[in-house]
Amino acid sequence: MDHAKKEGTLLIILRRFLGHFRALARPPVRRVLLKQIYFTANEAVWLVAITGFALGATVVVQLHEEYGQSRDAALRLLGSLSFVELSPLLACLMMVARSASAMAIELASMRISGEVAALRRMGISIESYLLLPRVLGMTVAAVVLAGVMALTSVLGGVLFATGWDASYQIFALERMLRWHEVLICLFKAASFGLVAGVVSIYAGFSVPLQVSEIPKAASRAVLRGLLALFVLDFCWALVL
Amino acid sequence: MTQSVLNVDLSLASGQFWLKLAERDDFSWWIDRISADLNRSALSACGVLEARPVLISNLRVWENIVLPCWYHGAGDLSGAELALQAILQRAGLDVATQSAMLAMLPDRLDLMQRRLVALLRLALQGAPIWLVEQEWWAWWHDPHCADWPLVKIFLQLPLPQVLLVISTQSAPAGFECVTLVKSRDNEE
Repeated sequence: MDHAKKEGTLLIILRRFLGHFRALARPPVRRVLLKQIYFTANEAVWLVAITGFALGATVVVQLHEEYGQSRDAALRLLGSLSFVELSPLLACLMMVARSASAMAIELASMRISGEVAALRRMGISIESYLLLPRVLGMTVAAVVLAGVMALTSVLGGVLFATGWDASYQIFALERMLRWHEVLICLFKAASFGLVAGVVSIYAGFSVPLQVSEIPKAASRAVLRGLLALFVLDFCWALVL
Repeated sequence: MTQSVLNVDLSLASGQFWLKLAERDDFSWWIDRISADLNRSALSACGVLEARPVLISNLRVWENIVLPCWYHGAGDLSGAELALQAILQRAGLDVATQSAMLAMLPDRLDLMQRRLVALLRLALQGAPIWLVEQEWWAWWHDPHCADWPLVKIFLQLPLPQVLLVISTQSAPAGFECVTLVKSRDNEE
């Protein structure tokens, strides 16, 4: 009986969760999602790409010149390090530093100015219209940014390891990358983005309704977001 | 199952109703509570006109106006655009001037423009129940305000199925009085 009750509760929670996803069929919700992806991913992509390029070059130079690794070995290590460890974490750290505070400030301001209440009065679901697209947008942005950083780091590494003979290495990327590492990179980034989105929303919605609390929401979103990323990265390290 | 806030089920009623609150009552809190109650029976059943309307700051004025019908409707905005033009033309307002306002962000609007946007939003929302603060009712019936766009537009709109005016004053003739069946203490 108790087991059946638990199953029933789980089904209700699952149905409610999936019910919010149905809201993506509504054009205004999709618009919020696209705006979130644009502001979080598109506007940060150059920053992440340059950082990734510099990261790849630095790692390869260090491995080759300081630790005496051959160029091929250095590139293989870079591929593994960048895709599995560095790119998801660094890209998401940059995303949290840049976007988590913005999201928390926006939501806290909307609550304080009565916009959240105004949406409710229009019969618009806060979970579907405000929360879901932001969390989903941050998740998608995290995957995109991690992917860009991983690829540009490999590009930076290849260019610095082989100079103008880079085309050979680029066409033989499969020697550096393994599919499961690419998948780990994407799944890790997705989990980081999801957690960062939830933490930012919580920071925006948990502050008291006073203007003086908005900066606190911003700093909480960033600090707790960073903490959550490191804890989650540690969990991934235990699992992998 | 939650009990209704008012002694009359407005989702089944029609006509003009008057709710008298005390000066010390938090109007905004009761409007939230009543609209949540009415929207439970049908989403977007209720539209609200406050004396100081709140617009969504990260949406342009046009998006604010169409948001409820865009969210609850099929997503095609061409009908809403034509309906808005028709309302402005019938009210004798300059469509070109109003169109410039539609592209702005709400923080550039003055209070009267915000009220105009709130009324247009309600007009396009097509809600059968209107919750209106007493100031609106006073403007609509004050001869000194006859030239206001707010009044001109209101006079062009069909009356909703239910008009509920929330006021600190007693009900004028022609209104049915409703009362709260719950106190805020019970609610919280």
